Amino acid sequence: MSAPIVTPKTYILTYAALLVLTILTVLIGEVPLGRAHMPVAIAIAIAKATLIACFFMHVLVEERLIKIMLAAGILWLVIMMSLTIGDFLTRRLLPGQ
Amino acid sequence: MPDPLQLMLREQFGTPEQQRETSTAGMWIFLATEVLFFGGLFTCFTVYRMLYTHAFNEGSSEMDLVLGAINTAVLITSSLTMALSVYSASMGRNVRTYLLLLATAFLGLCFLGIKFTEYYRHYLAHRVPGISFLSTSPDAGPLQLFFCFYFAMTGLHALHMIIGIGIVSVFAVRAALGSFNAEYFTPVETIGLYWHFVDVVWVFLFAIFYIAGIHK
Repeated sequence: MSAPIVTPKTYILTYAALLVLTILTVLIGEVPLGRAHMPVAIAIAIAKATLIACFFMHVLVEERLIKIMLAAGILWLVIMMSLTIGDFLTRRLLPGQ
Repeated sequence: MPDPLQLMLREQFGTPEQQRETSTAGMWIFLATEVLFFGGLFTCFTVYRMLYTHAFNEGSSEMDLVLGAINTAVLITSSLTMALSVYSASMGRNVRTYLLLLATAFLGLCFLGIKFTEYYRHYLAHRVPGISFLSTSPDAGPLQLFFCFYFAMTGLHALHMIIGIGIVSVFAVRAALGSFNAEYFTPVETIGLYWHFVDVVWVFLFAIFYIAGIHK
């Protein structure tokens, strides 16, 4: 059979890691972090998404075409977010704006 | 019911492996478009959060962190059962595949149940823009904007969940009827990718709506 294989053991380990990260997310919501709440929450979310993509979605064992497609999707998302947010962040730089 | 042998190698493909890779690539292209679909809403939310940080933090503090965390755990578990069902399908174990797909769909329904309970509680608290929104807070305007984003983004996610639950249920029946075997289980693999993606979207929704701004 030709499909890439990830073993159930890997799935269970990934699942355990995801649950730990979820508990961590909840805990940081209870700690006063001030302005760091959002970046830390996003960072943990990115870690979880990476685990889900690599193991549940088989990205690590798939052929390169799939890896390129995932990278392309993320690339265009980054372009959209950075240019849009950059627009708003750089308003009021010049006098009279 | 299509014959598995016929589906294993359709005319336009050279090998079954090429056919499987094409299906996978096709789903990934769709997922890339979904990344931008949800990404647009996330970008919009980020901009308005930058402009009205205090009001958005206030909105986050009104979210039920416990229910949100339970929902996250429910979806992550459903991703586990989904991944295991793909594995058992690749082993040709149809009964196990059927049970795991059933579990995935059931956990998806649990998620929706919790979500709609949260929606109802927001309705009771007068936090549903357009239907029932009342707030005496000085930030009432931007707070309403926060809840617009909340219902729009989690609602779109819930719609994706409903579609996913429907397809997973249909495939559970197909698995029970013997439509898949160790050589052909591509539909299960493909819906697996979709399901995991919807889980990833929820992971980010949980982070931006429930976590930021909760103070002790």
